[in-house]
Amino acid sequence: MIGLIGKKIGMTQVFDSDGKVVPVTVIKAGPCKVICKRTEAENGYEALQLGFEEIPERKVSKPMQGHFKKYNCSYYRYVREFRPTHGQNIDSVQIGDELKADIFGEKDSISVSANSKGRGFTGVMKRHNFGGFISSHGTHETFRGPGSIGQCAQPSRVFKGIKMAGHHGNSKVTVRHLTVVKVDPENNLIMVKGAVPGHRNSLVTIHKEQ
Amino acid sequence: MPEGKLYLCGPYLIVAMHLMRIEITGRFIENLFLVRSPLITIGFFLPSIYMGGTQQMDILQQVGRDQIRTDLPDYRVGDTVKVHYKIKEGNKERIQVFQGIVIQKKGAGVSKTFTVRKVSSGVGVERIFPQNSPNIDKLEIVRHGQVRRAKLFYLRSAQGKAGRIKERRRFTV
Repeated sequence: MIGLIGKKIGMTQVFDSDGKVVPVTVIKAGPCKVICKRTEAENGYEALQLGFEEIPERKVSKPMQGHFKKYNCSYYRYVREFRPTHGQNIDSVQIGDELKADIFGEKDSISVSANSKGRGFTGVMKRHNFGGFISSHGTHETFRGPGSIGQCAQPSRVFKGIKMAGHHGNSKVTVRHLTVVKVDPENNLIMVKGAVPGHRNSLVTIHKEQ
Repeated sequence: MPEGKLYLCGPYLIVAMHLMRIEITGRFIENLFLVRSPLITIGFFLPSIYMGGTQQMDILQQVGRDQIRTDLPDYRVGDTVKVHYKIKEGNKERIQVFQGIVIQKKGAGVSKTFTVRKVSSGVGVERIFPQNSPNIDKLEIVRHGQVRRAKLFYLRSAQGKAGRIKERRRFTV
């Protein structure tokens, strides 16, 4: 009971007990089946393997079919492993258990990981928060450029890791210390204060932080 | 299997493949997900059973549904209203009344807001209220205004006669 796989539904707002507006992201979390457990003795590490969204057999690749058959469970679209952190204990969880959104409670602290929205080839201002240049007082042609990328004859090359324009987004991003505002165990929905990486309907993994 | 509710639809409802709002006996049945029956292609209509797929936007609407207030009167842009707003100071709670003209309504669903403008000792004051806020104790309509646009930003610079709003004539049915 350390986390769940879910889908980002979108953002909306709720009123808290003081009547203040709280911006929330709605996530459909679970239900997830425990496919198998990784153990220190067998695999060298501890983890729970969860499956999310049941699918028919014909949609599963042959290698994955073998995996599901080995543990004698149904087929799932998404399979992720969750390692215990923050002193969590997974001994009480059995293979075949169904984990639902009710493992989260209000005011729980969680971290959410997902693939961020792809932004394509972007310049340094968007990608690395560079400042750009002023648009008047004689600025010539370069308004959003990076400026200097190094020195001159010494060292006669550009150092590795210099921040430049390039592909931005579509990479795994984790946002930590998010707060659960509301849980709807009936519909497996949780509401998280603030934004969560990824587009609507993107796969997210939610980890408990306690 | 996609999750959702099962709806039985008569042939006259098999009209679209999209999310629709259908009015039945005066109430909107929202989020009915209609799929075209394959039998339509041969010109034969039959009542069909559809899976009402719970779409992501529906979930968002459902999440906000129980927070939407239906007890407020139907106010319009141009109306002069009195907003009784609860204010918490420490443990004490009191009600402040803000009276002015509604100059804009904005947003949809649970995030609707409206802006009220008043002129307080020569200074224009505008306040934005979330329409569904539980802190709105009461909303009174003092005067119905007759206006010809949805946003009354011209009131900010209007002086004298231009800044006045005619009273709307109301017909009782």
